[in-house]
Amino acid sequence: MKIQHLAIIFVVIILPISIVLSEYTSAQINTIRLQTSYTNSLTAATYDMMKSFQINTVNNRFSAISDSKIRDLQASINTFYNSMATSMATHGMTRATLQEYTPVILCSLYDGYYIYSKYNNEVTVIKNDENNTTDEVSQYGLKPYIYYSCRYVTLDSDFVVNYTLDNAITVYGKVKGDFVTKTGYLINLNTDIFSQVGMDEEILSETILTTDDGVNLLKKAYTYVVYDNDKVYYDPDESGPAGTSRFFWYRENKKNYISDQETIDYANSRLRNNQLVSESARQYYDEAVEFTNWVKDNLGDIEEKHARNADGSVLELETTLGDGVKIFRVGDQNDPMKEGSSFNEHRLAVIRNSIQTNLLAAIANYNDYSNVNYEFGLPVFTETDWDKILHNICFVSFLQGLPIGAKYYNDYVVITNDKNKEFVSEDAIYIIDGNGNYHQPGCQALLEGTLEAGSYDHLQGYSNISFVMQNLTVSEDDIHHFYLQDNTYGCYECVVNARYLYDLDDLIAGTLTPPDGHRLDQNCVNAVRKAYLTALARERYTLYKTNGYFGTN
Amino acid sequence: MGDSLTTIIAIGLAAILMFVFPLMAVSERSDDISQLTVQTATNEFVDNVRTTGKLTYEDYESFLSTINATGNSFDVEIQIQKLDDNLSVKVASAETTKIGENVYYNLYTSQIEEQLLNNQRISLKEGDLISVTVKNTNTTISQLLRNFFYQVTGNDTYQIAAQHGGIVTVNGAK
Repeated sequence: MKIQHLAIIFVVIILPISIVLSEYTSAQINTIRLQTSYTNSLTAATYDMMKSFQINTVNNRFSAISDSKIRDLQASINTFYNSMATSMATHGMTRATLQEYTPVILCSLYDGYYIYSKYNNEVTVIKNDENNTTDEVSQYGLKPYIYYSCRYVTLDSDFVVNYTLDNAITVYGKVKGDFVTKTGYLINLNTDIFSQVGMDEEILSETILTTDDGVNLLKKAYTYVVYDNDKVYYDPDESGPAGTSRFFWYRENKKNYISDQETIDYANSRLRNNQLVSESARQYYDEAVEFTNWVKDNLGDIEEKHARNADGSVLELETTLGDGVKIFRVGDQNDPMKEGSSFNEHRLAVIRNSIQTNLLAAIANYNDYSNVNYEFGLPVFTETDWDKILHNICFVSFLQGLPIGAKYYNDYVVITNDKNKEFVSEDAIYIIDGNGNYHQPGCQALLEGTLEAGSYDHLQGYSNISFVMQNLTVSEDDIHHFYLQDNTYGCYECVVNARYLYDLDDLIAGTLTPPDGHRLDQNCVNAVRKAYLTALARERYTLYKTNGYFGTN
Repeated sequence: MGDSLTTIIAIGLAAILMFVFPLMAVSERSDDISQLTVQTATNEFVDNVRTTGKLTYEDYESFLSTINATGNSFDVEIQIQKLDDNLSVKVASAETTKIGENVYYNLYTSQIEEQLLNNQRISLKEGDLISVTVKNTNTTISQLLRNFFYQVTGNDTYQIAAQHGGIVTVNGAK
């Protein structure tokens, strides 16, 4: 056989193999490309959803109250689908099509979470509203709120503990024979960081933009205290109509002068030299001490083996603390404000277990309602994603079953956020210095004493939403912006350009160590630590808790 | 004379068909697969930074080792744009949510690498932007073979390239 013939045979064999291989690889590349584009759309849409929640809650004075929160969440979910539909329009996807492929959306909040999914409407009475559907028709919506809760049963106790993203818990049920309902913060009383720095009274002030007549605008700073989950401002110059006081609530862009005697009495008791003085930080501490002592006395013997499922069977958690570890016996070895303590390990395991079980069921149930030829299932979250979910407010969106060439698309996106009224995380506090600049508490310049003169004259911490732009809408074309902390600028060392930040856990514990070549200024550290812990205590204390039972029982 | 010439041409053709052609085809596929790996790794790396708000030395190293495992050498360019929130406080009309009304401070690859070496991490905040571009710097076998037949000139003669970027969605202070 001639060599030319051999060559031809070789080419005849190799050519189809090569073409098929090349087709296969390019199909794979296209699949990845499509997958990336879907993931990008999903990430963008979930972020838009979070952004919408942030904007709505920051500008909504009642955002923490559950009805209002549901409305904000529904608006956020609407944003999510709008954003998805816009970015996926080039792939021929509409909102209705996309909804079919998103089995659930998880909205995890401060003390529990909502799952948005399809369910059967079991309503028997049909109202005449246009959105109401008839009985037994499946529809998309938020399922009932699920608390991060766990039931514990011992010989003389049978109670439920509702956990939150921080050290606050609510206990209700039979504890040592008595029925109780209590909410409070657990703190370490052995090494008491709050009494180390001293929780003082403080003067808090905020700038608000008001328009009492709907035409003229007034921007002014007022001192305030929080009473009954609402900010009560003091107006030294004006007072409202007869029968009201100089104290007012900020409602619908107006100063709503207060006539409620109970609120006036409280506000009067907090008035010093024409300024309102807040005692929230001290109240946080006092109540935390009382609550922690109660928990120690009454729940001190609770261990993981006492945890039960709703049906009474023993609850199996992913991380086990082992026998003999007392969850609620807090102290140096079990500091509720530190990562890795038994209390926190158990709390995270309970939250994780609750979310996992309910998501699994929700996604599996979605198969009953879905018309898509795909078996929906809960993907395995990575540890990094669990870390995000368990430590902050977050939205998790799932997109499954879209055909993308060689396979089906199946991915999820976790977007967290710390700028909202839901939860005050440890890094959600900024410190304003004497020169009107605000800093992260771990700011190198702030802690090492290298800021310009006058900066340390007065340090005051506020929650980070005080530095977010607020809107006042007079009419559709007439929107005004203002900041609660007006004329304060983000430090270029830490807020704008976060170069190096000291660890917040070390700042809280008072055990900061500088990196090589740096030196801490102990006076500055003490002042910052005090301002930070006071602000953290105050902001957490004044946070509206849907499920809180402070001061009762 | 005529026969020998035909034989020489035939041997030449056969060599090209039997060695160079399959080698080219295989090396092209190999580059495609490298492209796939690099694109996926870049997306994962950037999305991780965007959703955690921090860029750590460890993540950066592992990203570099993933892309270098394709057997090529790469030029990685990272650009971080830090948003200056203060503008909207100073200027009443400026709004940070509007495109074109923001001021960003840029950090480029060498500055980022220096900060990562010194501090092990770079914290980003909500609203910052990050973009990563990866291009190969070596000549891959398929490029070598291609250059044998036809020369591609110019600076950007890379074969494997990936790019991804986006807005940071969370404050990574902690």
